[in-house]
Amino acid sequence: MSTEPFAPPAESQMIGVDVGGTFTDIVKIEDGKILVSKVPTDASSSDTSVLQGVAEVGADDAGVFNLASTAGLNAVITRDTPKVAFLTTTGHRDMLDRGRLGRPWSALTDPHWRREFGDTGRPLVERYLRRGINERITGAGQVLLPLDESQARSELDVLRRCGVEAVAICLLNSYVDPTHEQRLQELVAEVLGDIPCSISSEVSPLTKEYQRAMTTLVDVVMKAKYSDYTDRLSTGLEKLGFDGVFNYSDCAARLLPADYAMERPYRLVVGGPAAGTAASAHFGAQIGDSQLLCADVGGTSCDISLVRDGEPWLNSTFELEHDLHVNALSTDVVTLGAGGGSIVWVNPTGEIRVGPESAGAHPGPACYGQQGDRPTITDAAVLIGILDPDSFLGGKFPLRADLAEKAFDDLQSPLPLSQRIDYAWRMGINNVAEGMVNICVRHGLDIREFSLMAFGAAGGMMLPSLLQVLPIRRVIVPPHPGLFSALGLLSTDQVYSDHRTSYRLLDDQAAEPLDLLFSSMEDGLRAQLGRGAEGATVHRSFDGRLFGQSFETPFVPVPNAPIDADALAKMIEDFHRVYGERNGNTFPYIPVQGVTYRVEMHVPTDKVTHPPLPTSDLDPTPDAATNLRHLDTEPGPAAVYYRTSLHAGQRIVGPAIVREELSTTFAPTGTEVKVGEYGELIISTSGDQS
Amino acid sequence: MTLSLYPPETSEIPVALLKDLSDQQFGDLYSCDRFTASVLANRFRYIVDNMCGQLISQAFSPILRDYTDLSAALTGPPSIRHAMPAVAQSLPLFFGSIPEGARGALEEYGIDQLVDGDVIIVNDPYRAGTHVNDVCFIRPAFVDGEFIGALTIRAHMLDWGGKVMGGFTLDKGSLYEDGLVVAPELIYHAGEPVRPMFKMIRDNTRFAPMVLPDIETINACLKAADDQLSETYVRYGQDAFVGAMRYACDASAETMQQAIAELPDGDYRGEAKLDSNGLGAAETALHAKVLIRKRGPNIEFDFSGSSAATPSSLNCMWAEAKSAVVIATKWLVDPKTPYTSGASRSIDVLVPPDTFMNPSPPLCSNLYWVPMHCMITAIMRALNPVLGEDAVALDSGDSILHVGEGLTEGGEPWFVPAGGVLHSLPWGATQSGDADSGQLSLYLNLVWSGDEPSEADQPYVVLNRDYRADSGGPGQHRGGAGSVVDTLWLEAGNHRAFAFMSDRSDGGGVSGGSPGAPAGAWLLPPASTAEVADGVFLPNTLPSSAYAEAVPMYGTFDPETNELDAVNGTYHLALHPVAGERGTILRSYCGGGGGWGDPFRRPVDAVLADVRNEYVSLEGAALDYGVVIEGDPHHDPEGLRVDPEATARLRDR
Repeated sequence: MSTEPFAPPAESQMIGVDVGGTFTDIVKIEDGKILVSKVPTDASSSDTSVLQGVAEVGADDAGVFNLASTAGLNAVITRDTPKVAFLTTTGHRDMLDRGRLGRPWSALTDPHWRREFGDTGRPLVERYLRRGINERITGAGQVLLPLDESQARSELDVLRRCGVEAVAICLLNSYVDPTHEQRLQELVAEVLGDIPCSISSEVSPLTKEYQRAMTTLVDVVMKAKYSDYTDRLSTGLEKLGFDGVFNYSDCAARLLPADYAMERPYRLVVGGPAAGTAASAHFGAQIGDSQLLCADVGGTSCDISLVRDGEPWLNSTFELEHDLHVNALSTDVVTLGAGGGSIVWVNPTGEIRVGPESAGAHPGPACYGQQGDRPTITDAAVLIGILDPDSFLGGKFPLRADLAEKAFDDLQSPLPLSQRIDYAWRMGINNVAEGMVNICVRHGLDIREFSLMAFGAAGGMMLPSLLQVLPIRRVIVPPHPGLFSALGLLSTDQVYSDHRTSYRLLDDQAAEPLDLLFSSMEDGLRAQLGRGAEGATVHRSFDGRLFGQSFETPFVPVPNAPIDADALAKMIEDFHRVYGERNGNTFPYIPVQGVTYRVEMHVPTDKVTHPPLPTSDLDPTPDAATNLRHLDTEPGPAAVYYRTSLHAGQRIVGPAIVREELSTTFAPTGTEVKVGEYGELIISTSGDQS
Repeated sequence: MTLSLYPPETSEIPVALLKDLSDQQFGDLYSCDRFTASVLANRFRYIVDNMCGQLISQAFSPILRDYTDLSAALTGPPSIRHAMPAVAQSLPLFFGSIPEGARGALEEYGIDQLVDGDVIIVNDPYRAGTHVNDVCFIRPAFVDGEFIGALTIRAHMLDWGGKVMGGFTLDKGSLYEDGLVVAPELIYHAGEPVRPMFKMIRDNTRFAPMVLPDIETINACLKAADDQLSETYVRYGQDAFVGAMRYACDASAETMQQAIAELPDGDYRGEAKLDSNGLGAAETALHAKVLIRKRGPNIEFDFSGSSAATPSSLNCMWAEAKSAVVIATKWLVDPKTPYTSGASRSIDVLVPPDTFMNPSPPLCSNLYWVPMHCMITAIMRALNPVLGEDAVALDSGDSILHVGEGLTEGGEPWFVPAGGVLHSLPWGATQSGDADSGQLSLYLNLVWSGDEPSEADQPYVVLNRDYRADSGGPGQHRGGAGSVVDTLWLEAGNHRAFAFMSDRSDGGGVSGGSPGAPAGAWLLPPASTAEVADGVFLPNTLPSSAYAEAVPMYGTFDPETNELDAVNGTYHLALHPVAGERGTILRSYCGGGGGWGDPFRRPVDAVLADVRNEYVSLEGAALDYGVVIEGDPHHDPEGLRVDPEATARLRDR
């Protein structure tokens, strides 16, 4: 098996695996067809689930195997971590308790709130394993105090006696000068032997010590968790006859060859949600739609993200729980408590509310008959008649409408049953709608220019109703909506990347050092890529700010040429343009300061292509009918279609329901469904078939 | 004089609890259905939160971008008395004053004089509360010429004139020394800047290159929020829009009233003091006294008997009295729901004239949050005994304020504003558990970027931010630990540092818990910091000789040794800036949070973990918790052992 950074030949078979908390989704492209498999995730050893699922679709003929996993994320948020120590400059060990100090806005006036990762909560490293090392480098890079090696050895002796299994190191201002960290790493190896050790100046050489420290800590946890995991998967895949390229998908759904990924594994901490955005961008390109809101509605939540001009909207950091930041380039995903399992409840002033609490997989919605007694959105959908209790998950899992009704009956509310269900359904949809409006407002975007890609098991069921409350262009339910995220793993390129921080005013003096900085990063990447660099494209960007500001405007393009006066002028011009687009005003008279500089090398990789569907001029004949109940806006019958019997070009007038094995699409009154070229369902307001 | 600050905002009082209203009753009251009301209430909140978030990420001056000394709010039209259905969740400090500032400014200027795109500013503390640096920017929102409400950003301007750079100092005897006072006046008209106003600001601030872009950014944030608000109004119509504003306020009025109603009726007294009025030593201490009269769902806070107004910076305005009362009340009895102006509907506040929480012109309120915090403390002391298990131990005291300025060796001016050398503050414990050590004052909430960004362009190095052993108030649940902050100054300059609630020994714990350790600060001359150059960090506890050579800044000290001694010491405050050479170290201790419950009931394992983690020393474990532990916590943290017999002997005493 190879982890060489080469694109496989175009005719090769591909496997994508998305390991979720409940299920592991496997998709395989074989002779242009999409094969799918879904197996329960074994939380204690998810590699077993992966191999089990891959065995079902066969791996011996596959050229690539791309994996996104939540194993690392789950390890961090459940604190199922090895015994990690944290070394930092003396006097600063409590940065891991303080974080960035702020509390969430929901706890603004709450004296009972505690920081989840703080010492009174569930710290990632207990205070006695956070040790101070005598050394100090100033912000200007001067050595104020040299590294005291004998004191460092004495501290490491303590850690040895405590039997620590991994060490994260983050010294103050090491993003300016890494030498003390590098020497300390050598001392760790001498005293503690061959255990995972990450240093912040390698993992994430960016300013702001707390985020850099947390990123380094997550990196070493991932190293400890993933190196065996990767070995077990590699061995298992070999046994299944696989000899292609094994990639991990990072937080932005870019593919990293497994060996390269293991050098800085913090990049993999949240692999799954970004894949859905990548799938949306890729499928959007296939159908000619580059402005997309993406919504993945699953059992517990709704993940919303953005594709603008064909590219996923990225962030430079990721928050795993309140204020637990990782400096990972990541797709901007906002999670709302609005999934199929989101619980319906009544607040003290009598409002019907939905989420963020979820019934999860166990007990699940009341209608699952697993002792869940609180109503959920799925229960509402059963009672309304959108979900057919007898054909749920292909009939393998019949639902109990009587239990759904009892759960709604038991709510403490003066409203009659129908109104409770109607309000709950609309509130669930409204939560998503307001979440989307909020995201567009924050990013300064006009929601009317966007189509909504609706996927996940409950995306088609809930999201077309957004057309009744939001002026979005249209809702698109892609083929295989329940496995769409896994398809995203077969939709992106391999990416090699590097980044550095250097506070520098973009004036005449900046050209030469910046040119050196970019070329040294690119030389390093070329060396890593070897021959693979030949077909790669280079993408440069920087995060900058107006002089005096504290927060950066990220991802400003940098010319792919030697940095000279012209290139600097273009960087400044682009900064002001991007700033204006994001913020609505510009300050061209204020100097621009560069902060972080990034280089990415994209190695083109084979991607999934959705096959076209046979066309038909005839409108489809309903396969069945149902009666919609409880919704104010939907009295009476609705036609039911099976997705497998639809053809491209066909139109359906709402209210209508389209069923498929793992998903249901509900087009409400006033909307119309058009079946697209590749089988996508395009739902728009009647008379507005854009 | 009883000043009712909270006239009813709605003419129609709900006939029943909101949850029991029929659809018909709800529609009659709020001109929309329940569903629409909750949708709009939520939208109002995120419009103001986004406005605030946008400003934080785009501001230029450190006081806004790093310490987020700002807030934002939406207030309604005059028909609902400018009620405030949403305020940003950034900074409770302005809860009380921001709606008063907006309402007063709009009425004084005259809404009929305003047009779309106008922004008025006001900063007169006697009109709008707080201090002159906090400028309210108020944008009236219009749809088809109809005034639908106002959006307000209140933001601290880095410098607004006055006797010292940045504004913060102790001895401002009057508002005239505080800075430029502006009555409600236009700064933008129909979307265009009002040039004379900009010129006046430019010529009165020391930092125009930062302050003017901040103002432009504030205007852009207000406009973006106005667009969203107007779109919402057009989509839902006037009746639902205004009805939902009233609903949001009524909902929070109802939850607050219910929370108050659960307290037993009675009269409760509490008291707190500021160590000094900022002009002298302990004999000038200021006292906040409160008598709380609670009857059914109503509650009155009477501050009669509190100290007289002071000719220093340590007064706060009546609007801050309102903030203090609503913050303390939310904190203690209704912590979970978002604040609106409705929350204060059943609360009355009496602040006698010419007290330090209600001075008369021209006295100054430069350090207004300090008296406010003192009032909050008095309220907590009054209500904690009534709350039983729900009592909340006191935090460590007020925020430590440091300001430094000087010239570099090259002759360039340097300035580190208030908040630059930030302390985290420990909270008090509650029945929920131990308190965090790294928190912020309850009236603050901000995102702190750490020491590296400051060290990149400021002339100091932070040598130490460790939590101090035995500083958290002992209790069954331990109070948060105080920290020591040592900053090494790379340039010569002048330093001011002060805090006025440096000692909680007069009551900080609850339900049998004890107060946290006291606070204090010293300026250590380079001579006593020579060991730094030798590569040795200052330990958290220095030898007496080091303190004896230091200049005490504030705290209660042994006059001989300059070491903290809250029991027998003398309170000292450096009244004037203290000069420090290059290489000076500013050492400041913040106090500890109070404990909750009897410390002898703290599980032995929890005490052992505290010792292992150096939150509690071996001596502290025995003395404060009655737990005898043997071993070396620092060098053999996993080798510590509890002596069960000795522990039983101590705990049985």
